[in-house]
Amino acid sequence: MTTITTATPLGNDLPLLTVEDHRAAWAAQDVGVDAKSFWAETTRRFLRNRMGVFALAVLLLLVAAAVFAPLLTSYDPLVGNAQDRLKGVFSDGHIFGTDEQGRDMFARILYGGRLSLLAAFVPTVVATVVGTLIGTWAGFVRGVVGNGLMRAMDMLYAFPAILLAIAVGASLGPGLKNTIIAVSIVFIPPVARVAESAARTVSMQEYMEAARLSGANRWTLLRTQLLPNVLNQIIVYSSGLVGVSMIIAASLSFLGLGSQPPAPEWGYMLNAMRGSIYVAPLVVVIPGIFIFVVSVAFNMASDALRESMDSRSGG
Amino acid sequence: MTLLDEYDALPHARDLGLLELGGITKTFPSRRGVKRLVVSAVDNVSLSVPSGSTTGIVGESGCGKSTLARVVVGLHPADSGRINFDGAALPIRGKRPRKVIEQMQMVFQDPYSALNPRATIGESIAFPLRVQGVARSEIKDRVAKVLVDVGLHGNYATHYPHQLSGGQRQRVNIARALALQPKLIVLDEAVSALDKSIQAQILNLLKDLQQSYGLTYLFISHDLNVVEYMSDQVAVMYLGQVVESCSAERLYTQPMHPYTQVLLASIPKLDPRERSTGGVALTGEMPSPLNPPSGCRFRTRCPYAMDTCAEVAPPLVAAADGHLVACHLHSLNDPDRTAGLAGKRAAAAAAAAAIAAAVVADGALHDAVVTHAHAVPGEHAPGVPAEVDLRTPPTVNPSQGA
Repeated sequence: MTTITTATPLGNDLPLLTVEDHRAAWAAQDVGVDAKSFWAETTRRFLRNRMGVFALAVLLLLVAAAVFAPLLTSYDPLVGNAQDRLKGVFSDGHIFGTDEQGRDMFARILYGGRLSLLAAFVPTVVATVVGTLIGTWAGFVRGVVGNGLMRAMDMLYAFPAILLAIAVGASLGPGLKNTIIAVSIVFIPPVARVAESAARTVSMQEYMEAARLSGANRWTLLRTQLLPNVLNQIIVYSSGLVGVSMIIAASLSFLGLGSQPPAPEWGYMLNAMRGSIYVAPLVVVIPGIFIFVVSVAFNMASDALRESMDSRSGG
Repeated sequence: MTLLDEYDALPHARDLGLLELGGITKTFPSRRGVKRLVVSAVDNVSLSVPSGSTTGIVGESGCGKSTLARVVVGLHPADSGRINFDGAALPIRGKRPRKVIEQMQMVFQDPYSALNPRATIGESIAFPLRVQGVARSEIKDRVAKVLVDVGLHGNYATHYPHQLSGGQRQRVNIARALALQPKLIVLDEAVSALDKSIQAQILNLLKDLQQSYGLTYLFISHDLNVVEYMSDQVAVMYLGQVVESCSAERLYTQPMHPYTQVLLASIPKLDPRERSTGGVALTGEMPSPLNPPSGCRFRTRCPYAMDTCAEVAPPLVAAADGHLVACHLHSLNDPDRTAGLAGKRAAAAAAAAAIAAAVVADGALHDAVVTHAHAVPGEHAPGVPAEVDLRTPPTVNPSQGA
């Protein structure tokens, strides 16, 4: 027979508690000084956010649909049947209808997702990483190096985004890869600006000075003290770039610099079919709906991420 | 051979204090339009901080106290001067040896901005330990120990700064400074941002920690009462310079520099009958450190200013045993040199006497209050004052909430 003993709650007899007791009580919790706990906590809080998880699920679903497109449709996205031009939605065999060349829209949306999602995410991620590095470093070290970096960014910033993308795209040549490079370059300066101003504010806080007193080198300070405090501002800004990125990529396609026809790309599809809007309006807006869904889902997911990075949000 | 070299050559120079500052000067570049200007933040400050004691630095806002603190701990490079710490000369700019970093820590003014909002209390305290390469297993023990030593439950290690009150945060700041087991802690306005009642608890905690850890404090504050309560010796700063320095007791009873006299007269009196007595009010603003007055920097506001004061900067000299003062009233010993000096001296002495009387009268009351504040925690164990009731483990749980 086992005797069940209830553990006495801490502190019934305060005078008897020693330093060792406190230490033991604390060690029992086994958290607190772990450097990785910031990201672990962020993940934990994110998973508790229903909207965020839902948005992430939608994004993952779209990515999966694009990746496994051949398993989901038997149509070839590039080959159409001239007799089946511009069929409406839910018509025989074509759930999303067909485009102006008689190609199945469902297949084109699925395959197009590969290009469009790539064109939306890759520049955003690349620009966020590079812009954050440049901006936080410039805001942190300031002086000649910081000024030099930011003036270089300002030079790029001075051009209208689409013009800069056209210039980069034109000099590199047409194609989706070059579109992605062009859009990435366009997005780096604004991200760097946001990062720089956030880093400048944070680096003047007393906790940065306190951390400097510990003798840590600048890279450690940047990584452990500065970055967690500027990331949420950067993420808020960057998440809005996904939609813009898709639109710039689409515009470049429209101008003949992006993905080349007949490759399906949502923005290109939207542009190519705009003449048919009175014939099959529902079919024409389908690529737009997908661009919209991706943008909104990404914004929701990044909002949730920002909230879960904030230790004050509880949860 | 400069004066500083001569000073270093003195046989006793090595065993004077834990921290020795010699002629520290710090300026900041500034611009007004196209003109390049220089802000003279700290000018030729020499100071000795004896081991195991508390040295107070007091002065108005903008007199260079905080700049001096940052130069001492190495957050700002000094332009010139000497810093001797624990018998060894430190570089006045650039990286310091690891041993010195460990032995010199600082507690900041604002308990809210001094803790990383994204890090738990435990992480914040552990950060300097981790940087200095303390073993992981030892880090936990040391974090728990310093938390308990500053009177917080060990569970606070898992909390975030926003879950703590101002007084608790300042305890955490002190704990972080203690974690590296320093010899010297620079307290830059460490209690100024706190309520009076919390101030008393933190001050008593600091005194207890000084005993148990054998700490030396450089205590910087604009609050004369707090400096008097904490300090063994006090230096008064005005516009980047030390104008008077001596033991705390002597400073508060026999102030010699006119500025100190005015400062002490400005302490609000607890007894209404005392309010109108005790000297002159200070008129005007502190002059800009961009363009400090010639000669004595205090002369523009000094009630006893003479012609000499505009021409010659008074050196900091010993006017009495262990009492340094930078004022021509006390350094010009030739009575014929300036007309009316004797009369002014007499007036200054009378003012000093009036202040001394007021301080003594007020002191009795003041002491009673301070003693009472000290007695509030009861027979608390050293390092465990009673701001937090330790019987109740912290109730805020990070896993619950909005």
